[in-house]
Amino acid sequence: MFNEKEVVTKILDGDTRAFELLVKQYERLVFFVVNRLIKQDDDVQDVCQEVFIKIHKGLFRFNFQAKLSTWIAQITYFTAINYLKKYKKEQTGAYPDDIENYHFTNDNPEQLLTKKEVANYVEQLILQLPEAYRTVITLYHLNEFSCEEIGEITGMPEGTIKSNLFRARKLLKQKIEVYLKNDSL
Amino acid sequence: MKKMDDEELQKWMEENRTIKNMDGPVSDDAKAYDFLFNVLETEPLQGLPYDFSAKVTRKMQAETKRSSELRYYITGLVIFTVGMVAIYALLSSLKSITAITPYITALLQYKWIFVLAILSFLTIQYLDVVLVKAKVFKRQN
Repeated sequence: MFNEKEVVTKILDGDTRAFELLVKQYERLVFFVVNRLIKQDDDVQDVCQEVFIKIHKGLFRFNFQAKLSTWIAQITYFTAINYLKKYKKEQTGAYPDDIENYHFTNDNPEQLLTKKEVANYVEQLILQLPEAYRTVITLYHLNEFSCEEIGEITGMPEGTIKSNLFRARKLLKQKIEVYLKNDSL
Repeated sequence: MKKMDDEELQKWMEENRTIKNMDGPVSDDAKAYDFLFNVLETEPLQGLPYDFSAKVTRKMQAETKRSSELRYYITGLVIFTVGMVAIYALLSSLKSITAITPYITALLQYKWIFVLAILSFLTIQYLDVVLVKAKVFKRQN
């Protein structure tokens, strides 16, 4: 079983195998967040590497007051956001004016057949959502963080997180409904 | 049973994760949320390469080595500078050449120790480059 305290202590003593173990333990968490926020396959691996190097450099500051996963997710989130600010034109944190009438670009559910394809379709829809929505959807559903933990990670107020989560799901549900109606015909 | 709105349906899904236990006929909205929650909790098919952790560890080791080498060179430079300043201060504080003669004589007695120390340092640096770094480079490729 993964023992956070033991692994962190070993890493601070210079044990590289312990660091490799930490990377294996949290690479999925880091990948999910980076992959959803950056959307650029070529850069995802580099950003994930950067995250773990930052974790290694800053591990001495981790004081076990929060969960290690929350601390790692926080570093991941800010690294991805900084990357977006630096290299992308996308305005981080910006919302469309009228989110209720938000339009997705490749909106063609009629052609979908299998559940796997629908999953890909939903993934594409998520990638078109505003960054704040993508973040909460990923941290809540894939990484299984609570709204309170997402608040610690992103610095967003809990009310905003809940509202973003609700609106993002509602938008996605409306698109899926079209597919389900077609499927049942 | 009254029809649940989006907020109630999302709350139901968060608490129960399925629409199976819902009372009465299940609405299209409920089915859509059930489907959506399943998809949202499905991990993406692609991921990081299997040797990602090994790659990161190698990169981290290289960065650590680079920063420790930098620290080592800075320390060397500081020691050298401080030494030079100390020698300069010592010499300028002495009144005449005759006064420093005994110091120089004493230093010359130990000249081989200084020569040996410099040679050892250079040999260690050379072996480090030829043996250790070449081995690391070979392993990475």
